[in-house]
Amino acid sequence: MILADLKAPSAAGLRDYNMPVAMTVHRGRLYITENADEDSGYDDDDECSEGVAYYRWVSGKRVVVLTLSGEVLREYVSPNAWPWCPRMPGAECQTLRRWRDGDLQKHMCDWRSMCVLGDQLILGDAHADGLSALTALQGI
Amino acid sequence: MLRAADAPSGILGDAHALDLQAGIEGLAALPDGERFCIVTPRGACQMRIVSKTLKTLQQLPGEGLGLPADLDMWEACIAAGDCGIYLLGRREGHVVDMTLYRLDLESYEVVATTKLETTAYELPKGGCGQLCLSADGGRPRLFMSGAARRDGDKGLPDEALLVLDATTLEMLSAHDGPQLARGPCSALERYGCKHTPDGRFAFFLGCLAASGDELFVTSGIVAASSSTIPTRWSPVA
Repeated sequence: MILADLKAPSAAGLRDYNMPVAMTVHRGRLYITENADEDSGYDDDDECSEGVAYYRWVSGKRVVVLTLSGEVLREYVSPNAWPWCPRMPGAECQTLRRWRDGDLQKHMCDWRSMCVLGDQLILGDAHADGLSALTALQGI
Repeated sequence: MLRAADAPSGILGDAHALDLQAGIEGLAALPDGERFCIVTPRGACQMRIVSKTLKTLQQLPGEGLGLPADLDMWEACIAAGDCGIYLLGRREGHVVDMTLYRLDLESYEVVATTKLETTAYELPKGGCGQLCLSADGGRPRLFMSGAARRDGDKGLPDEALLVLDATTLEMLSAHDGPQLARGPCSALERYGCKHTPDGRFAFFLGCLAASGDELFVTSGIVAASSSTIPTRWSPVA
Protein backbone atom coordinates (compact mmCIF):
# COMPACT_ATOMS: atom_id res chain seq x y z
CA MET A 1 0.00 0.00 0.00
CA ILE A 2 1.40 3.36 -0.95
CA LEU A 3 -0.06 6.73 -0.24
CA ALA A 4 -0.85 7.36 -3.88
CA ASP A 5 -3.31 4.47 -3.75
CA LEU A 6 -5.35 6.20 -1.15
CA LYS A 7 -8.11 8.53 -2.11
CA ALA A 8 -8.36 11.75 -0.21
CA PRO A 9 -11.62 12.50 1.56
CA SER A 10 -14.26 14.04 -0.63
CA ALA A 11 -14.37 17.08 1.57
CA ALA A 12 -10.66 17.59 1.93
CA GLY A 13 -9.51 18.56 5.35
CA LEU A 14 -12.75 17.74 7.07
CA ARG A 15 -12.01 14.66 9.03
CA ASP A 16 -13.71 15.22 12.29
CA TYR A 17 -11.83 14.19 15.38
CA ASN A 18 -14.93 13.93 17.44
CA MET A 19 -14.17 11.05 19.73
CA PRO A 20 -11.97 11.96 22.64
CA VAL A 21 -10.77 8.76 24.24
CA ALA A 22 -8.40 9.92 26.93
CA MET A 23 -7.55 13.13 28.71
CA THR A 24 -5.04 14.05 31.34
CA VAL A 25 -3.57 17.12 32.99
CA HIS A 26 0.11 17.45 33.74
CA ARG A 27 2.05 20.54 34.79
CA GLY A 28 -0.52 23.00 33.55
CA ARG A 29 -1.09 21.28 30.24
CA LEU A 30 -4.16 19.44 29.08
CA TYR A 31 -3.56 16.42 26.86
CA ILE A 32 -6.40 14.97 24.84
CA THR A 33 -6.25 11.91 22.62
CA GLU A 34 -8.87 11.83 19.91
CA ASN A 35 -10.04 9.52 17.19
CA ALA A 36 -11.69 10.43 13.95
CA ASP A 37 -14.58 8.36 12.84
CA GLU A 38 -13.17 5.91 10.31
CA ASP A 39 -15.37 7.29 7.58
CA SER A 40 -15.46 10.93 8.52
CA GLY A 41 -14.51 13.11 5.60
CA TYR A 42 -15.49 10.40 3.13
CA ASP A 43 -18.70 9.76 1.28
CA ASP A 44 -20.95 7.32 3.03
CA ASP A 45 -21.16 5.18 -0.06
CA ASP A 46 -17.45 5.22 -0.69
CA GLU A 47 -16.74 1.53 -0.52
CA CYS A 48 -13.11 0.73 0.01
CA SER A 49 -10.88 -2.23 0.52
CA GLU A 50 -10.03 -3.51 3.93
CA GLY A 51 -6.53 -2.10 3.56
CA VAL A 52 -7.74 1.38 2.77
CA ALA A 53 -10.21 1.25 5.62
CA TYR A 54 -7.38 0.29 7.91
CA TYR A 55 -5.31 3.24 6.76
CA ARG A 56 -8.20 5.58 7.28
CA TRP A 57 -8.58 4.29 10.76
CA VAL A 58 -4.89 4.43 11.65
CA SER A 59 -4.54 7.89 10.19
CA GLY A 60 -7.39 9.25 12.22
CA LYS A 61 -5.71 9.66 15.58
CA ARG A 62 -4.20 12.66 17.20
CA VAL A 63 -2.98 14.00 20.51
CA VAL A 64 -3.59 17.65 21.27
CA VAL A 65 -1.72 19.64 23.90
CA LEU A 66 -3.52 22.68 25.31
CA THR A 67 -3.11 25.21 28.03
CA LEU A 68 -5.72 24.98 30.76
CA SER A 69 -7.51 27.92 29.18
CA GLY A 70 -7.89 26.01 25.95
CA GLU A 71 -5.14 27.40 23.78
CA VAL A 72 -3.85 24.72 21.48
CA LEU A 73 -0.09 24.47 21.67
CA ARG A 74 0.77 21.34 19.74
CA GLU A 75 -0.78 18.42 18.06
CA TYR A 76 0.64 15.07 17.16
CA VAL A 77 -1.09 13.10 14.45
CA SER A 78 -0.80 9.46 13.56
CA PRO A 79 0.99 8.28 10.42
CA ASN A 80 -0.54 9.19 7.08
CA ALA A 81 -2.87 11.72 8.58
CA TRP A 82 -1.80 14.49 6.25
CA PRO A 83 -3.09 15.95 4.09
CA TRP A 84 -6.47 14.61 5.00
CA CYS A 85 -7.10 16.07 8.36
CA PRO A 86 -7.51 19.71 9.30
CA ARG A 87 -4.60 21.42 10.90
CA MET A 88 -5.41 23.26 14.05
CA PRO A 89 -4.79 26.96 13.54
CA GLY A 90 -1.78 28.28 15.34
CA ALA A 91 -0.67 24.93 16.66
CA GLU A 92 2.66 23.37 16.01
CA CYS A 93 1.98 20.03 14.44
CA GLN A 94 4.13 16.99 14.11
CA THR A 95 3.37 13.74 12.40
CA LEU A 96 4.45 10.42 13.77
CA ARG A 97 6.23 8.76 10.91
CA ARG A 98 6.66 5.18 9.92
CA TRP A 99 8.29 3.05 12.51
CA ARG A 100 11.59 1.46 11.65
CA ASP A 101 11.48 -2.05 10.23
CA GLY A 102 8.23 -1.35 8.49
CA ASP A 103 6.39 -2.00 11.69
CA LEU A 104 3.61 0.40 10.91
CA GLN A 105 1.52 -2.38 9.48
CA LYS A 106 1.58 -4.03 12.85
CA HIS A 107 1.15 -0.83 14.73
CA MET A 108 -2.50 -0.14 15.25
CA CYS A 109 -2.28 3.35 16.72
CA ASP A 110 -4.98 2.10 19.02
CA TRP A 111 -4.58 4.95 21.42
CA ARG A 112 -7.24 4.46 24.05
CA SER A 113 -5.39 5.38 27.19
CA MET A 114 -2.51 7.60 28.13
CA CYS A 115 -0.50 9.04 30.95
CA VAL A 116 2.28 11.57 31.24
CA LEU A 117 5.50 10.63 32.97
CA GLY A 118 8.12 13.35 33.14
CA ASP A 119 8.50 14.63 29.61
CA GLN A 120 7.03 11.49 28.08
CA LEU A 121 3.52 10.93 26.95
CA ILE A 122 2.76 7.22 27.08
CA LEU A 123 -0.02 5.86 24.92
CA GLY A 124 -1.62 2.47 25.33
CA ASP A 125 -1.46 0.83 21.93
CA ALA A 126 -1.92 -2.48 20.16
CA HIS A 127 -0.15 -4.53 17.57
CA ALA A 128 -1.95 -6.42 14.84
CA ASP A 129 -0.62 -9.71 16.16
CA GLY A 130 -2.81 -9.32 19.20
CA LEU A 131 -0.18 -8.15 21.62
CA SER A 132 -0.54 -4.96 23.51
CA ALA A 133 1.97 -2.21 22.99
CA LEU A 134 3.07 1.10 24.32
CA THR A 135 3.98 4.17 22.34
CA ALA A 136 5.97 6.91 23.99
CA LEU A 137 6.33 10.44 22.74
CA GLN A 138 9.36 11.99 24.31
CA GLY A 139 10.22 15.61 24.72
CA ILE A 140 6.61 16.73 24.74
CA MET B 1 12.35 -2.20 21.33
CA LEU B 2 11.50 -0.63 18.05
CA ARG B 3 12.49 2.92 17.52
CA ALA B 4 11.20 5.46 15.12
CA ALA B 5 14.30 6.17 13.11
CA ASP B 6 12.67 8.84 11.06
CA ALA B 7 10.68 10.49 13.78
CA PRO B 8 10.53 14.24 13.35
CA SER B 9 12.84 16.37 15.38
CA GLY B 10 11.61 16.79 18.89
CA ILE B 11 9.79 13.49 19.04
CA LEU B 12 11.35 10.19 19.73
CA GLY B 13 8.67 7.61 19.30
CA ASP B 14 9.05 4.23 20.88
CA ALA B 15 6.78 1.37 20.00
CA HIS B 16 7.18 -1.28 22.59
CA ALA B 17 5.37 -4.57 22.29
CA LEU B 18 4.33 -6.27 25.49
CA ASP B 19 3.92 -9.97 25.93
CA LEU B 20 0.39 -9.28 26.81
CA GLN B 21 -2.52 -10.64 24.88
CA ALA B 22 -5.17 -8.59 26.56
CA GLY B 23 -5.69 -5.00 25.61
CA ILE B 24 -4.62 -2.08 27.71
CA GLU B 25 -7.63 -0.61 29.42
CA GLY B 26 -5.94 2.10 31.36
CA LEU B 27 -2.66 3.77 32.19
CA ALA B 28 -1.79 5.82 35.23
CA ALA B 29 1.45 7.52 36.17
CA LEU B 30 2.57 6.94 39.72
CA PRO B 31 3.49 10.00 41.75
CA ASP B 32 7.19 9.18 41.94
CA GLY B 33 7.47 10.03 38.25
CA GLU B 34 9.43 6.85 37.65
CA ARG B 35 6.71 4.29 37.17
CA PHE B 36 3.33 3.90 35.64
CA CYS B 37 0.79 1.13 35.81
CA ILE B 38 -1.18 -0.65 33.16
CA VAL B 39 -4.41 -2.40 33.80
CA THR B 40 -5.77 -5.09 31.52
CA PRO B 41 -9.38 -5.89 30.95
CA ARG B 42 -12.03 -8.37 31.61
CA GLY B 43 -11.69 -11.87 32.82
CA ALA B 44 -7.99 -11.75 33.53
CA CYS B 45 -7.40 -8.57 35.40
CA GLN B 46 -3.74 -7.90 35.68
CA MET B 47 -1.79 -4.88 36.66
CA ARG B 48 1.70 -4.18 35.44
CA ILE B 49 4.16 -1.73 36.83
CA VAL B 50 6.31 -0.30 34.08
CA SER B 51 9.34 1.97 34.21
CA LYS B 52 9.62 5.16 32.24
CA THR B 53 11.94 3.29 29.89
CA LEU B 54 8.97 1.02 29.16
CA LYS B 55 10.42 -2.00 30.95
CA THR B 56 8.00 -4.16 32.87
CA LEU B 57 9.02 -4.07 36.52
CA GLN B 58 6.28 -6.21 37.99
CA GLN B 59 3.38 -8.27 36.77
CA LEU B 60 0.63 -8.43 39.30
CA PRO B 61 -2.21 -10.85 38.69
CA GLY B 62 -5.47 -9.59 40.02
CA GLU B 63 -5.85 -12.47 42.46
CA GLY B 64 -2.45 -11.74 43.97
CA LEU B 65 -3.55 -8.22 44.61
CA GLY B 66 -6.59 -9.39 46.49
CA LEU B 67 -8.91 -8.63 43.62
CA PRO B 68 -11.61 -11.05 42.54
CA ALA B 69 -10.44 -13.48 39.88
CA ASP B 70 -13.29 -12.53 37.63
CA LEU B 71 -12.88 -8.80 37.99
CA ASP B 72 -13.75 -7.06 34.78
CA MET B 73 -11.89 -3.84 34.28
CA TRP B 74 -13.40 -1.21 32.10
CA GLU B 75 -11.76 1.35 30.00
CA ALA B 76 -9.63 3.88 31.76
CA CYS B 77 -10.77 2.85 35.20
CA ILE B 78 -7.48 3.48 36.84
CA ALA B 79 -6.02 6.49 38.54
CA ALA B 80 -3.07 7.06 40.80
CA GLY B 81 -1.93 9.72 43.21
CA ASP B 82 -0.30 10.20 46.56
CA CYS B 83 -3.06 8.21 48.25
CA GLY B 84 -2.65 5.15 46.12
CA ILE B 85 -3.72 3.43 42.95
CA TYR B 86 -7.42 3.27 42.21
CA LEU B 87 -9.13 0.59 40.21
CA LEU B 88 -12.78 0.37 39.36
CA GLY B 89 -14.15 -2.91 38.18
CA ARG B 90 -17.11 -5.18 38.20
CA ARG B 91 -17.52 -8.88 38.62
CA GLU B 92 -18.21 -10.87 35.51
CA GLY B 93 -21.91 -11.18 34.97
CA HIS B 94 -22.73 -8.50 37.49
CA VAL B 95 -23.99 -5.68 35.40
CA VAL B 96 -24.02 -2.98 37.99
CA ASP B 97 -21.97 -4.48 40.77
CA MET B 98 -19.12 -2.00 40.70
CA THR B 99 -16.38 -1.95 43.28
CA LEU B 100 -13.70 0.63 43.73
CA TYR B 101 -10.35 -0.49 45.09
CA ARG B 102 -7.53 1.58 46.51
CA LEU B 103 -4.12 -0.07 46.40
CA ASP B 104 -0.95 0.80 48.27
CA LEU B 105 1.62 2.52 46.08
CA GLU B 106 4.48 0.25 47.13
CA SER B 107 3.02 -3.11 48.12
CA TYR B 108 0.14 -2.84 45.65
CA GLU B 109 -2.11 -4.48 48.21
CA VAL B 110 -5.72 -3.49 48.48
CA VAL B 111 -6.06 -1.10 51.40
CA ALA B 112 -9.61 0.15 50.90
CA THR B 113 -12.64 -0.85 48.93
CA THR B 114 -16.08 0.47 48.46
CA LYS B 115 -18.93 -1.18 46.72
CA LEU B 116 -20.93 1.34 44.83
CA GLU B 117 -24.57 1.03 45.61
CA THR B 118 -25.64 1.00 42.04
CA THR B 119 -29.35 1.23 42.24
CA ALA B 120 -28.97 4.55 40.50
CA TYR B 121 -25.58 4.39 38.86
CA GLU B 122 -24.16 2.17 36.23
CA LEU B 123 -20.55 3.07 36.36
CA PRO B 124 -18.72 3.65 34.27
CA LYS B 125 -20.49 4.17 31.04
CA GLY B 126 -19.17 1.58 28.66
CA GLY B 127 -16.29 2.89 26.68
CA CYS B 128 -16.45 6.31 28.22
CA GLY B 129 -16.34 6.12 31.94
CA GLN B 130 -13.22 7.34 33.60
CA LEU B 131 -11.60 7.92 36.92
CA CYS B 132 -9.41 10.83 37.74
CA LEU B 133 -7.86 12.22 40.83
CA SER B 134 -7.52 15.75 42.07
CA ALA B 135 -4.54 15.83 44.35
CA ASP B 136 -3.62 19.49 44.27
CA GLY B 137 -4.09 20.87 47.74
CA GLY B 138 -6.98 20.37 50.06
CA ARG B 139 -8.86 17.15 50.31
CA PRO B 140 -7.83 14.62 47.62
CA ARG B 141 -10.87 13.80 45.59
CA LEU B 142 -11.63 11.10 43.12
CA PHE B 143 -13.94 11.83 40.22
CA MET B 144 -15.80 9.13 38.41
CA SER B 145 -17.96 9.46 35.34
CA GLY B 146 -20.64 7.11 34.23
CA ALA B 147 -24.18 6.62 33.23
CA ALA B 148 -27.04 6.73 35.64
CA ARG B 149 -29.57 4.02 35.06
CA ARG B 150 -32.73 5.15 33.41
CA ASP B 151 -34.77 3.04 35.76
CA GLY B 152 -32.84 4.05 38.82
CA ASP B 153 -35.10 4.87 41.68
CA LYS B 154 -33.09 7.99 42.44
CA GLY B 155 -34.30 9.44 39.21
CA LEU B 156 -31.05 10.78 37.86
CA PRO B 157 -30.82 11.34 34.14
CA ASP B 158 -28.41 9.53 31.90
CA GLU B 159 -25.11 11.02 32.86
CA ALA B 160 -23.63 11.08 36.29
CA LEU B 161 -20.50 12.29 37.96
CA LEU B 162 -19.53 11.05 41.38
CA VAL B 163 -17.09 12.79 43.67
CA LEU B 164 -15.46 10.68 46.37
CA ASP B 165 -12.99 11.23 49.14
CA ALA B 166 -9.79 9.73 47.75
CA THR B 167 -8.67 8.41 51.12
CA THR B 168 -11.79 6.90 52.58
CA LEU B 169 -13.62 6.35 49.28
CA GLU B 170 -16.64 7.95 50.89
CA MET B 171 -18.99 9.44 48.34
CA LEU B 172 -19.09 13.21 48.73
CA SER B 173 -21.53 14.18 46.03
CA ALA B 174 -23.25 13.05 42.86
CA HIS B 175 -24.12 15.22 39.91
CA ASP B 176 -26.16 14.69 36.81
CA GLY B 177 -25.64 16.22 33.41
CA PRO B 178 -28.13 19.09 33.64
CA GLN B 179 -26.77 20.00 37.03
CA LEU B 180 -23.28 20.19 35.61
CA ALA B 181 -24.45 22.31 32.72
CA ARG B 182 -26.03 24.78 35.14
CA GLY B 183 -22.93 24.89 37.26
CA PRO B 184 -19.90 27.08 36.85
CA CYS B 185 -18.56 25.66 33.65
CA SER B 186 -17.16 27.00 30.44
CA ALA B 187 -16.21 25.49 27.14
CA LEU B 188 -12.67 25.81 25.95
CA GLU B 189 -13.81 27.65 22.90
CA ARG B 190 -10.40 28.18 21.43
CA TYR B 191 -10.06 24.48 21.08
CA GLY B 192 -10.74 24.37 17.37
CA CYS B 193 -14.44 24.26 18.01
CA LYS B 194 -16.40 24.54 14.81
CA HIS B 195 -19.75 24.95 16.49
CA THR B 196 -21.16 27.74 18.52
CA PRO B 197 -21.84 26.38 21.96
CA ASP B 198 -24.40 29.09 22.79
CA GLY B 199 -24.06 28.13 26.39
CA ARG B 200 -25.81 24.81 26.11
CA PHE B 201 -23.82 21.72 26.87
CA ALA B 202 -24.93 18.16 26.78
CA PHE B 203 -22.62 16.46 29.15
CA PHE B 204 -21.57 13.15 27.74
CA LEU B 205 -19.02 12.85 30.49
CA GLY B 206 -16.50 11.13 28.36
CA CYS B 207 -13.01 11.80 29.61
CA LEU B 208 -12.05 13.42 32.87
CA ALA B 209 -8.96 15.24 34.05
CA ALA B 210 -8.54 17.31 37.18
CA SER B 211 -6.27 20.17 38.08
CA GLY B 212 -6.57 21.91 41.38
CA ASP B 213 -10.15 22.93 41.92
CA GLU B 214 -11.12 22.42 38.33
CA LEU B 215 -12.33 19.40 36.51
CA PHE B 216 -12.06 19.05 32.77
CA VAL B 217 -14.66 16.93 31.08
CA THR B 218 -15.23 16.21 27.44
CA SER B 219 -18.78 17.14 26.76
CA GLY B 220 -21.05 17.60 23.83
CA ILE B 221 -22.91 20.59 22.58
CA VAL B 222 -26.65 20.55 22.25
CA ALA B 223 -27.64 20.23 18.59
CA ALA B 224 -24.17 19.09 17.65
CA SER B 225 -24.16 15.77 19.32
CA SER B 226 -21.29 14.36 17.32
CA SER B 227 -18.94 17.06 18.45
CA THR B 228 -17.21 17.10 21.74
CA ILE B 229 -15.25 19.81 23.38
CA PRO B 230 -13.49 19.91 26.68
CA THR B 231 -15.24 21.91 29.32
CA ARG B 232 -13.85 23.09 32.60
CA TRP B 233 -16.02 22.86 35.61
CA SER B 234 -15.52 23.90 39.20
CA PRO B 235 -16.74 21.09 41.40
CA VAL B 236 -18.99 22.10 44.19
CA ALA B 237 -18.14 19.21 46.47
